[in-house]
Amino acid sequence: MLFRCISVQNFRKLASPAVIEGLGAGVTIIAGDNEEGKSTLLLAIRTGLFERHNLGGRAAEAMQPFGSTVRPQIGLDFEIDGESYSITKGFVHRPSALLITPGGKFEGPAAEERLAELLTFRVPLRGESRPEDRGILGLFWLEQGRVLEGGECGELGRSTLRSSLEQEVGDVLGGARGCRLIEAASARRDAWLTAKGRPRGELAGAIDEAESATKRATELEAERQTYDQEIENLARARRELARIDIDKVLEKARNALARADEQAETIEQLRQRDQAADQAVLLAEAQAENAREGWTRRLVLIEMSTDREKASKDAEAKVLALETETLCIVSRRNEAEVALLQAVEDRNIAEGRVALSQNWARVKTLDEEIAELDRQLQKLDALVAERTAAQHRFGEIKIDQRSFQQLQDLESAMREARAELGAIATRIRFSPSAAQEVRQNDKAIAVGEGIEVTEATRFTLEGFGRVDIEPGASELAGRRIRFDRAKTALSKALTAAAVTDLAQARRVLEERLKAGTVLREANRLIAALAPDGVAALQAGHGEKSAERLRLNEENGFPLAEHIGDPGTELRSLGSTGVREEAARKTLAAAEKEHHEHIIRMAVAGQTFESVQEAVAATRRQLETARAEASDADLQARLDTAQGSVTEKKLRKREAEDRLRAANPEEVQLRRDRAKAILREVEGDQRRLRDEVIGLESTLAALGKSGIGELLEEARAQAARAISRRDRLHADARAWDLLVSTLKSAERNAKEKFLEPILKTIDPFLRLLFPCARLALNEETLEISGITRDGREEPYAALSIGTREQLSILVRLAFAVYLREKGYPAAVILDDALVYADDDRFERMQLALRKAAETVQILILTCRPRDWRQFGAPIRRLADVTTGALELA
Amino acid sequence: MDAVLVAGDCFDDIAVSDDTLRRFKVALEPFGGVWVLLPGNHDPAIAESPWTRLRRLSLPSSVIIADEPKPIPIGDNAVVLPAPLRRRRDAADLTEWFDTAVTEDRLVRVGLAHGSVQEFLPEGSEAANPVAPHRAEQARLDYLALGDWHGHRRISSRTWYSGTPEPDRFRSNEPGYVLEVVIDRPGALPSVEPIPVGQYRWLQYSVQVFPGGAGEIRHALAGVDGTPLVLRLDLEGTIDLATRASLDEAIGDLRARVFHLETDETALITEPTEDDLDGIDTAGFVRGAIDRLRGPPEGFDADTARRALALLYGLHHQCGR
Repeated sequence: MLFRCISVQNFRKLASPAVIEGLGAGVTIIAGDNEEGKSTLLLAIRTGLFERHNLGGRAAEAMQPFGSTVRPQIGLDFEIDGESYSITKGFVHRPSALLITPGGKFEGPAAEERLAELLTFRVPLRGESRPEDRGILGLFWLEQGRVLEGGECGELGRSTLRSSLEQEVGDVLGGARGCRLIEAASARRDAWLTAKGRPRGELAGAIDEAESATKRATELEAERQTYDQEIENLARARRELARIDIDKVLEKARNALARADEQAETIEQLRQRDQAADQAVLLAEAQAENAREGWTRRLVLIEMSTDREKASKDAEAKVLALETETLCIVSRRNEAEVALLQAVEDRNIAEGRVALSQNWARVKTLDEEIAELDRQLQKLDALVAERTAAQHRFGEIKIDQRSFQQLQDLESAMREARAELGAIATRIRFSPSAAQEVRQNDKAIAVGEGIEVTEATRFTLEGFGRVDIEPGASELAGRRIRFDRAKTALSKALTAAAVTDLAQARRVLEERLKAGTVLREANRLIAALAPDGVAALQAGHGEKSAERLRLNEENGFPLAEHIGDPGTELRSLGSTGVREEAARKTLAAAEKEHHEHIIRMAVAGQTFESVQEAVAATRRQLETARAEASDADLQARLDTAQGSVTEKKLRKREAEDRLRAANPEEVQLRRDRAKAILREVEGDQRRLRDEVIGLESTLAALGKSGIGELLEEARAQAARAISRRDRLHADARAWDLLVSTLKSAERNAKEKFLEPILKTIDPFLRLLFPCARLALNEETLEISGITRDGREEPYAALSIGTREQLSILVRLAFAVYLREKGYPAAVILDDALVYADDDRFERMQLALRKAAETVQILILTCRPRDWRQFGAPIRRLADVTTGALELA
Repeated sequence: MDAVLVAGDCFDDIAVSDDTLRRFKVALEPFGGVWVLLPGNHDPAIAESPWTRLRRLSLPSSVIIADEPKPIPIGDNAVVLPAPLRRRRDAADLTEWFDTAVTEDRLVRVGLAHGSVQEFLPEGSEAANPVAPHRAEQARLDYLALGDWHGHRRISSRTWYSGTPEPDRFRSNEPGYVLEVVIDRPGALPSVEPIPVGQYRWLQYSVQVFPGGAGEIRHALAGVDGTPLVLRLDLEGTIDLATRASLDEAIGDLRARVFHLETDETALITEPTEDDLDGIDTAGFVRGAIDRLRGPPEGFDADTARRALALLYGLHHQCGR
C-alpha cells in the first residue's frame, strides 16, 4: 500500500483544508508543531478508511472542529500493487463515501465494503470501529503514546498474520482444541500429582490408605500369631500337666524319696556303731599310752641317775686339772708386766733425746738467722746515710727544670736584643799600619776585629789621637735600652740562682737530678731490705737472740753426750714405741688368759657342786618311785594295755566295713536327687497350672474380638487398597506422561509456527541488539520477552525506551513480512522514538530505512531537526494547508 | 428328623469373635432336635477353639460338640461315631477307630468325619486328613457323612460329601446344598436327597474380547435368573481404544446389575490402532504427541504409554471433536 495524497478538511484541529500530495515510496517525514494537527492527520487517515461515512452521535460530532457544525471531509489516494485507488468520505452533514478503483466506482456502504475487502479490515455494524476491526493496518499505525502497548493488533490482524504463517508452515499449533486437551489433561494430572510429580489428592489418599491398611493387616497378623502361639502354649502346658499325672511323676518322686530315707536311717545306725567302736579304740589307746608313759618315765629316771653319777666324776677331774694349770698362767702374766715396764722406760729416754736434738737444731738455725739480720741491719745503716746525704744535696740546689728554663729564656731575650742592636750599630775595624794601640773609652781593644758602636764612644788611636763617634740611627737608643734591660734581667736571675752563667746553671741542674736519682734508689733498697720497717727488723733480731739465750740456758748447751740429728732420734723413738705396744699386748693377753682361767675354775667348781646335788636328788626320786611301783609291775601293765588296743581296733575295722558296705554316699546322693526331683515336679505342676490359668484368661480376652475375622477383613481391605493405589498410580503416571508429551509437542509446534516471522524480525533486531532473540506469544503475537546473553527478560521488565523500540521493530517486521506475502501494508508512526538515546535513535533510523525498502513509512514528528540527517523528504503541516478542497 | 450332622468347618477360622459365636448359637435354635457338630480343619478342636468357647456359652444339651472320638447316641435308634480333627492337618486316618467301635446291633451306625477320600476327589483337593475310601464298609457303617469338599458329592451309596450350604468361592462344584438322609433300619441302604439352600450364585467367566466385541459381556449374562449373583470376569485379548471405551461402558452397566463384580484384566491389552489415533487428531501438535507416545518415550514402559494414549483418546471424546 502506498499513500499518494491525503486531504483533510473540517476535521478536528484541521479545520482548514490540508492536502499532502506527492507522497512516495520509502520514508516521508511530516513535521508539525504541537497542536498543529499531526495526530489529527493520523486520526483522519484512520477515520477515512475504517469509519462508516454515516456514523452518527457523539463520535461523528467529535470529528467537527471545536464549536463548529461544519462537514468533516477526508480524501485518500493510494496505490496497491501499482494500481490507483481513491476513497473520499464526508461526515455528519450529507454523509457520503466514494471509492474509485481501477475496476469502477463504489458509493456509500458499497464503497466501504469494497474498501474493507481490499484492505482486509471489517466495517463495524454500528458505532465507531474498534482496534480489532481494523485488521493489520491498525497494527502498523501507531498513535502518539500507544506505542508501548505491546503489539495489540486485534483478532482480525492476528488472523491475517496467523493465516499467513500457517500458509507457510502448516497448522502445527492444534488450535483451541489442542489447548483444551492440554488444559483438561493437566487438570487431571494435577489432581493426582504435584508440579514435582509427588502424589496428591485422591492418589495421595489411596497411597496413605494402602499403607494404613497394610499396616493394620500386619499388626493383626502379629496379633494372630500371638493368639495362635498362646493357644499352642496352652496346649503344651496342658499336655505337660497331663503328662505329670499320666506318668505318675510326682508319685514316683515321693516313693523314691521314701526309699532313700529308709536307707539313710540304716546308714545312720551303722555310723553310730562305727563311732562307738572308734571311741573304744581311742580309750584303749589312751590306757596303753598311760602305761607306756609310766614305764618310759621309770626308764628315764634310771638312765638319768646313771648319767649323773658319771657327770659328777668328770666334774671333779676337771676341777683338779684347772688348779694345776693356774701356776703357769700366773707366771706368764708376771713376765709380761716386767717386759712392759722396761719398754716404757726405753721410750721415755728416746723422747728426751729427740727433744734435745730438736732444740739444738733450733739453736743452730737461730744463729744463722741472727747473723743474716746483722748483715741486713748494717746494709740498712749505709743506705740510710746515703739517702740522708742525697736529700741534703737535693735540698741545697735551687735550680730545677723550670728555673733553668727561665734562665734559658732570659739569655735568648738578651741575645735577641743584642742582635737587634747590632743590626743598626756602627761597625768599626781598625787596621793600623803598625802596631798602634787603639783604645775605646780608654780601654785598649784588639785591633783588626770589627767593633760595633752603639753609643757615643771615644776611640783613642795611637798615633792619631781621639776619635769620637756618635752613632746617629734613630732607633739605636731604644734598642740599646731593651738590650740593657735584658742583660740586667739575665744577670739578676743568674745571681739569684747562684751561678755565673748558663753553663754553670746547666751543671748545677744535672747535679740536682743525680741527687734525686740516688735518693730514689736508696729508698727502693731500704724498702726491699725492710719491708716492715727497720724497727721491725731490729725487733725480730731481738726476739731470736732471746730465744737462743733461753734454749742455751734450758738445755745446758753445748751437751756432753752425743746426740744424733732429730730424724735419727725420731726413728729411734719409733722403735721403742713399737716394742712398748708389743709388751702391752702380751700383758693384756696374759691377763685375759688369767681372768678366763679364774672363771673356768669357778664354773668347774660350781658344776661339780651342782652335779653332786643332782646325783643325790635322782637317787631319792628313783627310790620313791620304786616304792610306789616296782619296775616289773610297770612292765606288766604295759603289756596288758597294748593287748586291749589290738582287740578294740579289730572291732573298729569290722564296724567300718559294715558302714562302707552300706554305701552311705550313694544313699545320700539318691536321697538328694529324690528331694530335688520332687521339688522340681511340684514346682512344674504349680507353674503349669498357673500358666494354664493365665493363658485361658488371655485367650478368652483375645478371642472376644475375633482376631481371625478381623485379619481376613483387614487383608481384603489391604488388597483392595493396594489394588486401588496401583490403579490410580498407573493412571497418574499415564496422565503425567500424556501431559509432558503434549506440552513438549506444543512447545516444538510453537517454535516451528513462529519461525518465519522470527526470521523476518531477526535482521531488524540485530540492528538494535546483536545476538538477541525475541520471544512472541504464538496466540496474540505480542512480544512476550527477549533473550540477551542467554538470559530471558520479560517484556514488561524492560525499560520504556527498549519497549518502544522493540514494539516499533516488530511492527516494521510484521509489515515487511505481510507486504512480502502480498498484503497491503504501510507504517505510520506518530511522535515515535521519543525515549531513544542518540545511539538507539540512529540504529532505529537504520531499521526504518531497511523496512522502507519494502513498505511506505510516514513519520509524524514535532522535531524535524532529528530527522534532517535521515535523508527523507520532510513535509511541514503548516505548508500543506490550502484553500477549500473539492471533496465529495 | 432325628438329628442334623455338620461334618466340620462350622467356622472358617478358630479366632472368631464372641458375636459370631453367639450368632451361631442363635442360628441353631430354630431346630429343636439334636445337632452334632464336628470340628474340621478350619475349626479344629485345639486347646482354645470355638468349641471350648461355645461350651462356656451354655449351649443347650441338644447341641453336641463331637470333639472326642467316642460314640454319641442319637435317641434310641442310632449312634454317631465322630472323627474330630484336633489339628488343622493330620496325616493319620482318624476314622480308623470306627472299625473297632462296639455298638449295639439294633442301632443305626453313622460315621461323621472331615477329610479327603483321595481316590474319589478331583485333583487339587487337599491331601491331608485322609479318609479310607471303604471306611463305611470296613466299619459296618450305615452311612458315612463327610465334610471338607465344598460341593455335594457321592462317594458310594453309603458315603457322601454334603458340601457347603452356601457357596463361598468361584469353583463350580455344586455348592449350596444340604443332604437329607433317611435310613430305615440298620443295614438298610440310605436314601440321600440333595436340597438346595444357597442364597447366592457364584459365577466365573473367562471372556475373550475382540476389537468391537464389548457387547459379548452382556450376552454372557443372558441366562442369569433373579438370584443374587457374585460374578468374576477374566478378560483377555487385545483391543483397540474404541473397544476399550465400549468395554468400560459395558462393565459399568454390568456392575450395576449384579450383587458383586470383580474383573481380572491382566491378560487384556489395549493397543491403539491407526484408526484410533487418526480419530483423535490429524493435525497440530497433538498428532506429534501421539507419535511420541507410540515410541514409547524414554523412562516410561509401553503399558504406561498405551494407557496415556487411551486417556488421550477418552479426553479427546470428552472435549469434543
